[in-house]
Amino acid sequence: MRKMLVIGYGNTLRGDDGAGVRAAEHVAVRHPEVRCVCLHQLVPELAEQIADCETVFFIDAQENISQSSARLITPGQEADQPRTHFLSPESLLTLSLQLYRHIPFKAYVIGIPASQFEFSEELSAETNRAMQECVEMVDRLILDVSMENR
Amino acid sequence: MSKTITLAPVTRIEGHAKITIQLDDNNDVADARFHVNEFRGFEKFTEGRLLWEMPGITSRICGICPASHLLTSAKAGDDILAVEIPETAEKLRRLLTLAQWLQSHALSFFHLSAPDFLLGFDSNPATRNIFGLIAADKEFAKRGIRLRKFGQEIIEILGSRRIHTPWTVPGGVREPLDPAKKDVMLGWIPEAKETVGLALDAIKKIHKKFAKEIPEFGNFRSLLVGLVSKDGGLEYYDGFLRIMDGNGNTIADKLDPKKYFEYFGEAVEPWSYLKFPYYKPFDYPKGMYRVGPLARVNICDFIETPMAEEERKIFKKLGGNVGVVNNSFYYHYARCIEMLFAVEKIEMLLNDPAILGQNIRSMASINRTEGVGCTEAPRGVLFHHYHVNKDGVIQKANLVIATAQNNIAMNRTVRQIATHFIDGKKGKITEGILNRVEAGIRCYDPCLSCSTHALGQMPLHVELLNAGGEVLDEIRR
Repeated sequence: MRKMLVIGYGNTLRGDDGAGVRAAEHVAVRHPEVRCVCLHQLVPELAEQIADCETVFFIDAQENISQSSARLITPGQEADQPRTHFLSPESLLTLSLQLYRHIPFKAYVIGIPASQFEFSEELSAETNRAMQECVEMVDRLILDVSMENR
Repeated sequence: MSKTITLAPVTRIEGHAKITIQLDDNNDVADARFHVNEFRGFEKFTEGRLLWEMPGITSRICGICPASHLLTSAKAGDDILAVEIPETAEKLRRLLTLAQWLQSHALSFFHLSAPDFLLGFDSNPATRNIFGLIAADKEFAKRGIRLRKFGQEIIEILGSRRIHTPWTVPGGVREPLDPAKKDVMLGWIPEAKETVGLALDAIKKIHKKFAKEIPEFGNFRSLLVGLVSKDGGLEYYDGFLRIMDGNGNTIADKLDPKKYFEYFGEAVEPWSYLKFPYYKPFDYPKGMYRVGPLARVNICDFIETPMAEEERKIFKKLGGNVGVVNNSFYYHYARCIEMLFAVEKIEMLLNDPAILGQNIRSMASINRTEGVGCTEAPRGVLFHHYHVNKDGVIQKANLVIATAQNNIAMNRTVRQIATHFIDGKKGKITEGILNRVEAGIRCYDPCLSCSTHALGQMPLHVELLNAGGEVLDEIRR
């Protein structure tokens, strides 16, 4: 199987914000062959790992969406000045491209609906449900990518 | 009528801040202030928590230097347990401290400050960032990212995760080092040394490039405070406090860090959430002092690793006859020297057989109701001071953070740069001036999340106000 990377990010101490991390932890258990990384935020050091894989999934909590959803992204940059120690998925792809001249064939951003961001290590019931849906979605996408590569 | 310029938010630092520049009736700079406008109050909400939870809780103060809080908190815990930790545990903690220095200094130098140096203070702010840096020198940018990754990887290997690792505890550490992981870390050393060598070459070119501007970047005499080892060497984990004045005289030495409150007071100002620590014998604000790389490399008698020691000797020559380097711009150079020291010392520690020992934790219950931990965080000396009851429940906590200790000096730096570069008669701030003021702050690599124990990003807001408080101009980033 070609290299796949799952990056779940967010703050697990701020309720639903940790949904991306929780989802990546589930994916790591279900797909030991896939490299999973859990972080608070996207940092420039990830560029090297991203450049070394063929498919990358960025999983994050997201406000103002009603269900988990995936979208394909391409390299880009923030409209405002990029922060220096955390980046958007699009900026990170740009960094991989500029530094290592390679980006994954496919890069997905998967949003998990989130609404509760108070101090808590628990997900709200709605976000927990959506997080499970997200994990199943990643299952399917991993399967699809694996089939394409055969 | 006098005027005030406000810069807010300040960018490429950790946290939220604002700078105001007050003009007098002649439109000359009368005053400049660095305001920190975020607040979290860790000292208050840790009351009632158990001592053993404190490393994990206080490491959440910061995403950049969590290991420093973790270590310092654990040391305060050691003091309360009244234990001496095993040799292996101390060496592993030292390794973690140096990894923290390396990743934090690499972030400061390569990611936050290098865009100014390589692209210039007057370059387009839209490209004066890591992407602009890549366009200007891809290899340099890549090297910087990998050097930080090395530091992060050590932290991850030791603590099983990069940020907020719960590995250090009162009495020692939780897990010994896996021998296979030791070899992984050693494998990074040649590349890390080469990269720090590139950084040192670059900083020397930067000194020449900005020779005319450097004298205005926080160039003043102040006290310098930091830890030194028992024999006067550069120290990062333990040792004694040394205080040097701006003329190179050691005015206090071999001070016990556990009695920090006898030497330092904390003033407050109504316009900032960041406290203003000062040296008590000189009172506030004359007791201004600086901590961090500039202070550490200045006050030590030597550095125990050979390559860093050679650089220290070159550094000291910048102080001329006085023998002390008082210009805050040279924080960057001192930071590069410390990166070199960190890489050399990490190699030494990894090659020490004791690093693989299995005795890593001293077990004890509460033996004292008060304890102080002190280490050198990347930005300077850090104190955690706890009072507990007989069950180890925190009754009171005081955290004295490096960035706060530089607060008076940072304000002085902003004032000096503003006075030199701002022409109040124009009533306008250019991007280049804004960036120079910010760059003055960035010399100290302030971490406002730590220093106010605050939450958030670090944008900058600058305001130019007249004597009546009317905003003449402002820039936000």
